[in-house]
Amino acid sequence: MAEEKKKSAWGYVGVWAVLAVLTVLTWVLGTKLKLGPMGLPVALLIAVAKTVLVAMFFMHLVEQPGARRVVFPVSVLFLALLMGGTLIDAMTRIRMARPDGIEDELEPKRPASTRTEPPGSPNRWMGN
Amino acid sequence: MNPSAESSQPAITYLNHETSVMSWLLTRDHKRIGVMFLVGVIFSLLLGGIFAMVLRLELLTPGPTLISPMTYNRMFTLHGVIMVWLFMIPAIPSAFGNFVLPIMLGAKDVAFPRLNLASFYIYLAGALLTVFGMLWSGADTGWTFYTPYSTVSPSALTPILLGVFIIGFSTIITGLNFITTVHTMRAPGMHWTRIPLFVWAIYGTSVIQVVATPVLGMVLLLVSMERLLGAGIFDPSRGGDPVLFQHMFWFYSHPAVYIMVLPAMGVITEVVCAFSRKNIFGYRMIAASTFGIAFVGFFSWGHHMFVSGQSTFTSGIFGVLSMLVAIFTAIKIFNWVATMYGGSIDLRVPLLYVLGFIFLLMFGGMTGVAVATTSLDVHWHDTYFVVAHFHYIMVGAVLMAFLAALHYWWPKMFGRVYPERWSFLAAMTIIFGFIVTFLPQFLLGNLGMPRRYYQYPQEMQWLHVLSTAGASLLAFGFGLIAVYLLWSLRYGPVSAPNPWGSRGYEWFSGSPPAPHNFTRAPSFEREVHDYTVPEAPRVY
Ligand code: HEM
Ligand SMILES: [Cu+2]
Repeated sequence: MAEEKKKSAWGYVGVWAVLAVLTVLTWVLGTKLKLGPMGLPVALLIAVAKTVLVAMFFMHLVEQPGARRVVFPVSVLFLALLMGGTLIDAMTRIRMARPDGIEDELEPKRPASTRTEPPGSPNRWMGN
Repeated sequence: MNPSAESSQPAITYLNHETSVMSWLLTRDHKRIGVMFLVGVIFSLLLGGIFAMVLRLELLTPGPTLISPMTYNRMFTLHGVIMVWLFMIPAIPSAFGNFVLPIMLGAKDVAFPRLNLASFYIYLAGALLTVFGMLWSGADTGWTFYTPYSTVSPSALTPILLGVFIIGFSTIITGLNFITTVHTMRAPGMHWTRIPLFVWAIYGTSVIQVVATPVLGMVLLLVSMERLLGAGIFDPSRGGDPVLFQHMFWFYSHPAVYIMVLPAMGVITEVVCAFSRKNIFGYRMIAASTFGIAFVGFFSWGHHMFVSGQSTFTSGIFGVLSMLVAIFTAIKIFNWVATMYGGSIDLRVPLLYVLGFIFLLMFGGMTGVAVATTSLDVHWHDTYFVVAHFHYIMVGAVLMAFLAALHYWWPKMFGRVYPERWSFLAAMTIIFGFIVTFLPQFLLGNLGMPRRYYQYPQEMQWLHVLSTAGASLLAFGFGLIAVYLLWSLRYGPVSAPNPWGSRGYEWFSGSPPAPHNFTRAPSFEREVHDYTVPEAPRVY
């Protein structure tokens, strides 16, 4: 880091382009191709990818030597694990029925895309 | 060739070069910090142990015996919180890790000595806040703080949550410090393949500490917010999800059981080598399995949630992944036994604890695989079967390793020898007492005795009585240890620099070590625990 060698800026432009594409992709996936229950994980995945790019290139993590470089990807991996495991559970849970049969108030405030599908619906991942 | 081999202790040691109270309280010496942690965790063990005895005495009869139901709830919470966060988590890494890890690497100190001291005071502050909270109103949620009860419990839970949150920082800082130390402070000749396996174990533990503890901090803060501000994250009536708490809690707390057990495995590896006079069988496999356990430990948290309302699909995945841990554990057990096989075994007290460790770890590990089987766990969950499972590992195995370390490194730390016969008696009492305490709990659990219950049917009484009898034996054994160790500090014979003839690297410094560990730079020419070449012990 001592000698300030003039580096070409094209690398950064490339990364910027990828970030821009990912942003457009999030928008397209979210508004044009509705992904249903997959929407949230996919959006998060893209967000994580973008964060990684920013941290690696604009925050210069790639230029760090050895072990320091591992820290960031490892944190991302474990965060993804925590969220992934939890989301897989939330998305495959049995939908609880209210004894009085009222459907609506069961999960009132959540947007439909994050609601658990009723058993047997095609969007539901695994049987039960 | 090595003049210091016969000489006794160095004249100036870390214990006597400065003796004022301030020189201890403001020290940056990893050895003194290790000793202060040791005092802290032993005090916590004593407190937790007293509460455990109260619990066991209450359960002596089916009805009310000694305390009220509410006090009983507070007692098991006190017991669990203190044992897990004030004793188990810091016990081996912060106390023994601090003391021997830098010496094993041939370093003068850890990478960040000031941070190391800060870590101790953060632990102290968190511990005091926790204990204060518990004395103030007495939490009654159990150590797991499950929502929704923890968000509505009338007891003052917030200081306890914050206390544990603060202790988490101590854990993280210590972990970072050790990782940096291993990377940057190794003496010449200390290649990656020569690093003692205790250091590898602490390294693996540190990685878990750094990665997992923030999640615990986060979830404790969220519960506090829920209590203070009504955040609604875990409250279904406001769109929250109580099971989310369990996900975050166990994402930390399952790996946390490996924060407890990995350092213990590291101690066992050192002690097995030293008293079998053989280098470890399969160095690389032991080191690799440490990281295997650390990694796989993160993929199994859902096995605590089989009956929480977690989806069947997720339970299946977590159940299968949990069993992988057993493979890595089995590798270690195989290698320890293979190390002893054909060794020149010297059955001293630390090795006795190791034998206890291996036996009890097998029991705990195999019942772990059993409770990870979803269908079986529906029957055993929240019963004494689970209580027995984790006590077999946490008390049976980890505490054995703690005692093995205490006895193995006692001469190293304080330069004194404890009486061999008394220590044998205490070890046998503890191992036997342990089995009498916890074996009946498997049977109780299988009969359907729920955990954290104040009363139980008459038919179960004989098993409870057995368990309480065993606990009394355990308490007696600990009392004995306390007496002879304290006695030896003052009256015990002065130890030789290397009383066990061990070739672990930590014995390359004096016992007790000089203030900066070595009087000249150590060099490591041979593998650790290499007993193949005749050579007098050397001290740098
Ligand atoms: C072969 C490895 C292991 C497996 C497969 C395993 C599996 C399990 C399972 C499935 C449970 C939940 C049972 C239930 O609540 O119904 C459990 C509980 C527990 N295990 Fe293990 N375990 C293993 C090793 C360990 C180790 C090494 C430790 C500690 C050092 C440990 C400590 C605990 C604790 C503290 C609990 C109970 C937590 C609570 O609910 O209060 N386990 N184990
Ligand atoms: Cu677990």
